[in-house]
Amino acid sequence: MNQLIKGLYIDLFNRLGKMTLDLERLSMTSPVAAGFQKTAVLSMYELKKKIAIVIKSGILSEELFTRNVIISYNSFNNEFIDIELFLFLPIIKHSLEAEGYFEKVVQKIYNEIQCTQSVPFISTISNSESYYWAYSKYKMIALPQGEEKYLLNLGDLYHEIGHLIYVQSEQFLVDDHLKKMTLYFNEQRAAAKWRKKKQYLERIQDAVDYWEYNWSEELACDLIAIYLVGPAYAWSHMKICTTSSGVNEIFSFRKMIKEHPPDEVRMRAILQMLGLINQKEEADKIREIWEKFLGVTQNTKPDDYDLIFPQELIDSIVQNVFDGCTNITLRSYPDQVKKTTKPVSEVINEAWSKIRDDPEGFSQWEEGKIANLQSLSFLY
Amino acid sequence: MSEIGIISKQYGALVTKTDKINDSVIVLKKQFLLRSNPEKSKTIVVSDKELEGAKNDMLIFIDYLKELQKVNHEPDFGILPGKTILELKKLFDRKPGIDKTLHKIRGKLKKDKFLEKEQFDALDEIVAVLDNERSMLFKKLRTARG
Repeated sequence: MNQLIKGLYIDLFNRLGKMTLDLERLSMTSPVAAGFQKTAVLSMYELKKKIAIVIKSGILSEELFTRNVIISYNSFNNEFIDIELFLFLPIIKHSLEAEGYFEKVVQKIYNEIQCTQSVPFISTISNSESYYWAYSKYKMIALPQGEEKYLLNLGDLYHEIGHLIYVQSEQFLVDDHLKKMTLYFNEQRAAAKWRKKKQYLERIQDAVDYWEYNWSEELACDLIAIYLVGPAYAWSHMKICTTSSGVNEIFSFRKMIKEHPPDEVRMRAILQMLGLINQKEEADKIREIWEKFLGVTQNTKPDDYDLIFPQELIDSIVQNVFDGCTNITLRSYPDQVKKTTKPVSEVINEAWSKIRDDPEGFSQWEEGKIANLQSLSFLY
Repeated sequence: MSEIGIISKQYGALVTKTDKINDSVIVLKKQFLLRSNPEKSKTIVVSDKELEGAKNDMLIFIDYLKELQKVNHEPDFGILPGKTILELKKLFDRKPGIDKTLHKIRGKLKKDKFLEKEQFDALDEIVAVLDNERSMLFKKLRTARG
C-alpha cells in the first residue's frame, strides 16, 4: 500500500516537471499571456517543492501515516488539476486570433470605463454551457470557444470584469448593504420565532449566508455590468431567462437557495440600475417585454420568495453599487458614448438593436463590426 | 455569470484548514513514532518549532469544534463553510465518544504530553470529514457554471 502511494507521489512530481518544461518552451508574444505563463510556471514549481518535501520526509513508508498522506496526496492532486485546468491549458490554447483579439477588446474597454487595473488574462477555454466565468485567484476571464466570432454575448464580459473590480473594491460597492441585510433578517427571525414558524428559521439562516457569500457579489457584478454596458446587459439577461424559464427557474423554484440569486431578482435590480444611469426609456421597453415574458412562461414563485428577496434589499444594493461605481470613478455607459470614440459598449448595444430589427441581416452586419474591432492595435 | 470566484474562496479556506490540521496530525504522529521507535530518527525528523506549531493549531481547532457543539452557537463560517460544519456535527452525533477523546487530547496537548493511538484515530476521522468536503467543493469548482 505505502509503496503504491509513494509511487503516486513520484508520478505527480514527474508530471509537474514535464508540464513545466512544456510551458517554459512556449514563447508568448502578448505581454498579458507572458505574465500569465510566468504565474503558471511559478505555481508549478511551488507545488513540486511541496511534493518533494513529503517524498523526502520518510513518512510515505510508515503505515501510521497512510491515511494522512492519502489526504495530502488528494490535496496536491487537486492543486495539480487546478493548475492544469486554469493555468496550463489556457496558456497552451492561447492564440492571437482569439485570445489576442479579446486582449485588445478588453484593453479598449478598460480605457473606456476608466478601469485602472491591469488587463486580465482572457481564455476561450469555456463552452456554451459553462459560458463566461472569471477566476480572480488567477486574474483570468474565460469565454466560450469561438466567441471571437460573435458580439451579442459580450455584455456578459462586463459582468466578469465586475468580479475582478469587486475583489478590489468590495467595500465601496456593497457598503452598508450587508448591515441592512443582517438587520432585516434579524427582524424576520424574531417574527418567525414569535409566530412559532420554525420552518422559516433554517430558511432565513440559509438566506443570510447566501446573501453574504454569493448573492451580494453576483448582484453587484450584474449592476456593475449594467452601469458599464447599459441596456445590452439587460437584453443578454433576457436571453439567459429564456433558457431558465424552460425548467421553471425564473424564480429558481425548489432551488431558490443556490449560488446565483433568481433571474427575476436580477432583472428587477438590472431595470432599476438602468433608471439610475438615465436609460429610463430603454428600461421601460425591456420591462414591458419582461412582463409579457413572465406572463407567457408562467414560472412558479415559491411561498417565501418575497421574504428572502424583499424590495428594500434590492433597493439598497442597487443604490450602493451605483454610488460605489461613481466613487471609484468608473465611467458609465452614457458617459462612454459621450466622451469616447465608438466604445465597445455602444457596438454591443447596436448589436442588440440590430438583432431585433433585422435578424436576417444581423450576421453580415456583425462580421463588419468584428472586423473593425480586430483591426485595433495593442496599446501596451 | 460566474460563481467560480465565490466557490474558489470557500474552497481556498477549506483547503488551508484541512491541510493545516492534517499536517498537525502528521507532526504529532512523528513525535509518537519517534518516542516508540527511536531508531526511526534516521529517516524521520521533527523539530521543536514544528511540534509547537502543530500543538497550537490543534488546540485552536479543538476549541472551535467544542464551540460548534454548544446549543444556539453561531458558528464562524469564515473558518469553515456551513456544509462542512454540518458534516462535523453529524460525525459527533454518530460517534458520541469522539467528544470525550477530543477533551482528552486537549488536556494532553496543554500539558505537553504524548498522544496515543486511539486519539490519533479520532483526529484522522475529523480530518477525513474535512477532506471529503474539500473534495466535493473542488468538484463543484471544476464544474462551476455561469
